[in-house]
Amino acid sequence: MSATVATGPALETAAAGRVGIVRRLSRRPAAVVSAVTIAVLLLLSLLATPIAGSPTAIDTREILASPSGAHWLGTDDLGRDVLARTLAGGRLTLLVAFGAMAVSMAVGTLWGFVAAAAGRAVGEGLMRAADACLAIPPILLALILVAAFGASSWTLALISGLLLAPQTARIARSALLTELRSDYRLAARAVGVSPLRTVFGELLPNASPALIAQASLTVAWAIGIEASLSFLGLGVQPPEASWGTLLQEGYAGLYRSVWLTVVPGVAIFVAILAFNTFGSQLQQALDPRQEER
Amino acid sequence: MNGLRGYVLRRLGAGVLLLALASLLTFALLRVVPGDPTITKLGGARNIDPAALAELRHELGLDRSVVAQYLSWVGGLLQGDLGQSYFSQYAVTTLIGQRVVPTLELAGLAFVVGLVLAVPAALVSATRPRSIAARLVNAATAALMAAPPFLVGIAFVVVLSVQAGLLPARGYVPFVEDPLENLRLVAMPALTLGLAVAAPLVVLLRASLGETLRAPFIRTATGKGLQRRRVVLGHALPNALIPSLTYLGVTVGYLLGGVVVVEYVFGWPGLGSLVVDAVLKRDYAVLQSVVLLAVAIFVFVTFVTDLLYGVLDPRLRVGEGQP
Amino acid sequence: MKSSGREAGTVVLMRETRAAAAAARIAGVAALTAGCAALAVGCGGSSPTTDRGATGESQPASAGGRLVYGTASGISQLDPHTRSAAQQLVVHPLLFDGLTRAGRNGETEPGLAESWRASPDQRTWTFTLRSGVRFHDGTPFDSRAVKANLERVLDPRVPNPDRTKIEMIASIGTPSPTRLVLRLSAPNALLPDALAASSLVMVQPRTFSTAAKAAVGTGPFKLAEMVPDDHVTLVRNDDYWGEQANLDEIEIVRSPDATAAATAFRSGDLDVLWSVPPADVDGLVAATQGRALEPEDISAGVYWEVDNASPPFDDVRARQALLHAIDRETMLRVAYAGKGLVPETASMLSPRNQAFEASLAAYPFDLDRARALFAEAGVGAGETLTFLTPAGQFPEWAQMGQILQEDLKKIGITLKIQREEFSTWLEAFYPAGKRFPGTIVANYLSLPTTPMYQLSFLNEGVCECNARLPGWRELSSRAVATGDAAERDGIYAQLQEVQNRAVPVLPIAFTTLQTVVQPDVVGAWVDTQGNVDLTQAGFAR
Repeated sequence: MSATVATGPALETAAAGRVGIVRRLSRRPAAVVSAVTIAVLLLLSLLATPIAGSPTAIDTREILASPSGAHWLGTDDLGRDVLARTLAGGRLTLLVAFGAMAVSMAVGTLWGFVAAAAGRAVGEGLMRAADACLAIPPILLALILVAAFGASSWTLALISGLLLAPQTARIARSALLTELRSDYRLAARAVGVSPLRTVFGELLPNASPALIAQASLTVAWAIGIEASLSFLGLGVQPPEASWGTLLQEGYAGLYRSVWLTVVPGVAIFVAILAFNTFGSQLQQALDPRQEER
Repeated sequence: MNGLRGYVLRRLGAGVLLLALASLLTFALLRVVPGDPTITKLGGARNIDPAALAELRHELGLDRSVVAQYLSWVGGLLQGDLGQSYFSQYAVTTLIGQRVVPTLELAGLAFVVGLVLAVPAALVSATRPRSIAARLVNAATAALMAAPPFLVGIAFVVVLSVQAGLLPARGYVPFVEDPLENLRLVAMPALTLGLAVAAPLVVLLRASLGETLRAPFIRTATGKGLQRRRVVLGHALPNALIPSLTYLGVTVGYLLGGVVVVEYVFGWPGLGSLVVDAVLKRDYAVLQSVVLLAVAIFVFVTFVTDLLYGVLDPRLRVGEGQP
Repeated sequence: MKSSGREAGTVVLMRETRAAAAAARIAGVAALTAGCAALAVGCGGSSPTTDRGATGESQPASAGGRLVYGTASGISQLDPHTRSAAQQLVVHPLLFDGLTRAGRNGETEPGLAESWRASPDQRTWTFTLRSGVRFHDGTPFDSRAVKANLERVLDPRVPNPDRTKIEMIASIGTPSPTRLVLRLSAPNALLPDALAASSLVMVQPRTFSTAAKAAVGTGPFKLAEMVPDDHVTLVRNDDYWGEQANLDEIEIVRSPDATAAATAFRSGDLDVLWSVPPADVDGLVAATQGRALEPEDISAGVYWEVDNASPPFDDVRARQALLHAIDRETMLRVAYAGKGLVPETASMLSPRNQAFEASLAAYPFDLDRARALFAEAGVGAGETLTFLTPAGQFPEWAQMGQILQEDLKKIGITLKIQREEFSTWLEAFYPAGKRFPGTIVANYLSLPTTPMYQLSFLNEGVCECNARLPGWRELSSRAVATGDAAERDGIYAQLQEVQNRAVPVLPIAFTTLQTVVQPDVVGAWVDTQGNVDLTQAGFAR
């Protein structure tokens, strides 16, 4: 159970209503491993500076040093500690990704709920609009938007969040449609519970495991988008570094040091894998048919 | 057949509406983007007279109102004239023509690679979920889902070009000029993009196959004593593929997005590189048309798959658009 | 110069980059280079693997062959009169000729004009043109064609980067097809130097409107095919008036990703690779047994610009303080792998330039002086300055910014590094006249070796730094009007004095773009601005 605790208050809230899900999840090794990985990544990012020191301190006498006692992962082309930069880069990457997730969940959930609750015509219209947004490849839109609004961690979070909102809207709508048709909704209406209270008191908590799964997947996508944009040269600005910018810098000097490409590359890979796995494990745990197997 | 015709017309209308909306959105977005194409075009050259800037703006039509610019773009569009690049003076149709073949080759091959990898992988994974092969497939799929296409591309360059020296890291030669070299050059980008497409396909197919295999008609077929192999390949697979068809549009969208980054990594002269250049230079004339083209492709593919789906699965023919 | 000793033996440098990755490079890098110059000093001799200027020429080239030239930034158009991108410069000497041209040392040589002479007052210039020269489309080249070309570039509506060098041309006479008479509104002893500019070359006048995509010149190669921003294919012009080219074909291909380009060069897919990240040069040379091409002299480099017309850099002490706070030696070593020369003063001219004034006061790296001068200028601890650099390209610039950031931190000043996507970066300070208070803009200039054309970057309305230097205009016009070279050098010294005191821009490193070639490539050379000349390139026998 330790894994679920580490994933934070959001899941706990959900867990309150759905202890069964947590139990089912904890029986899945992949879910546990990915949850633990996420917890470790978050913890390392939070404690980046205490663990590894300053990510920006330049030491021009120690350029491209190999891993050693002083620099566990060596140094980069300005003599900065690679471990410190990777951990600090993770903090920024995860900040952007969680920011994007928050935006995507807020906008997408609202979108999906309105589409589900509104009449058929409006709902269809809203979903067609979501399809339209999905029609333009996200990386293309992201490129244009980043060019327009600049690449700070906030704009990156906002842009990736908005780009991922339509997918959330689809999930939210179908999750809510299921709930809306269920009996307790009718019952609630019958006893005169206000619609708002129904939404926040019943519908949202009941739809939340599906949304948490979606949130986890959204974080993974956002990390991917951030990395891709950085690779095209439109990531965050130095001396701040994200995994994407570290990878881009490292790749530019591939022939000098493969190390500087491998470290952030692996970090991105592991993070996306963990969030993806956790999200899809949760989805599977929610799906009784899959659960049978 | 009235129902089908009405359905087709409705979907066609929706597609056109979507295109119109997308054109408006793209156009509006590009005009609020900071960065002036005339300044980018001068590129920082010194000693430039303000008169030159004004002349340039006039030449590019940027001194007209935004509405007038939009109308003239759409007007030209309807006549097949997309205007010319602000930078190269080439007609946008020519630029697209120069680059559409490499992109189609890359995307087409990637799609084939994706299918060839995904179908057997999904079959193994769905029919023998507990086998070692299935576990390998599942792990590989999860790994590929986690690796952005450029990361896979980099890995290929590092291993196949830098370490092993097997394949060229970049470049393009038209197939008609040198078929062998063309294939050597397209191998890594197509594989990169193909893997990126294969992973979500495996997930889809696996789920849909799993569902089909539990369906009563499969049990019936098995019950009748048909070979497991024939049941899977002859009955389950075709039925599992039909629902996957609806995701063809999504897959094409995925391809279009992936192509941008993959072309960049491998210096592939396709529409993806064209669009990245256009964004960075603020070449609105090129950008707005290429984005619209991407949307049009997406709309077209979705339209066709919806129709196909309707034909293949009569239950859906009545026009209940899928959710 | 304390630093240059250490760097001796390395290549001369050049800079810039491609590097990194970014798509952005796409954009046009060029800019940076658009007009300018700098010099560089090289430090020391060439290492065995470098090919300095004319050396490497001794080996004869075999006739024929196809050479592939790689560049990070694509060529988007070919019209030389409106060129703005440095990557475009490689095609100019191949497709076009000017009336004059710059040789390997930057000296002016005859081109389409065989000879020229000035009246004693330097106001009337008579050029004798080569006869029998034809454009690629078969039409004859004559004085009327020259007139049409000059009229085009003199039109202020045509964005020609070199117009100001010849704008004193008042009338163009064509007494015969091979005679051209230029009458000037002000004396100009440098006119033949000016006409060697790569954006003042001759284009078939009837093709002006389509020159961007179908360039027709008189050069040793003809345009065969072009896909903008991807590749340009040139084939030999067998009717060339001058020395015939060796190669059958030259293909200029773009490889936006630096690492992919390096990989392609290593595997032999590229014969020449231009704008190599400085730190990669030695590795590429070692891996292929190839050579790095070095210019005879350097007139390019990294400059930082500040707005001389708004606070705090409207105060000369703030500009001097900033220069003292910049550890130029470390920057060159770290960001450019030492490939270049460290400026000791604020002069635009590198110590290698024949007109460099050796008596100028130096601005050594000295944080205490920087702190004191900053304080006098009202920039105390706790202040914040901004460092503006393009995103995705020129990673070296961002590195230099980070070194400054760490140093300024030691004297209590915060430096905010702002990376903007190329178009936005450019628009923040360009063209001249924009206000960018408290901002340090990283930029790169490459200019002809002629000292005046480097110093004239500081003319009002040219430099984005918005400087107004005392007596500058008057001194400059005197230099231009002086036919006597020694006297002109005296004026150059005075101009450098003015500049060194005022520090309108901050020279950071004299360095050019790096070029590497495969071992079998001969006859290719780079000019003082780091541009590759392939007119006589070929493969060793």
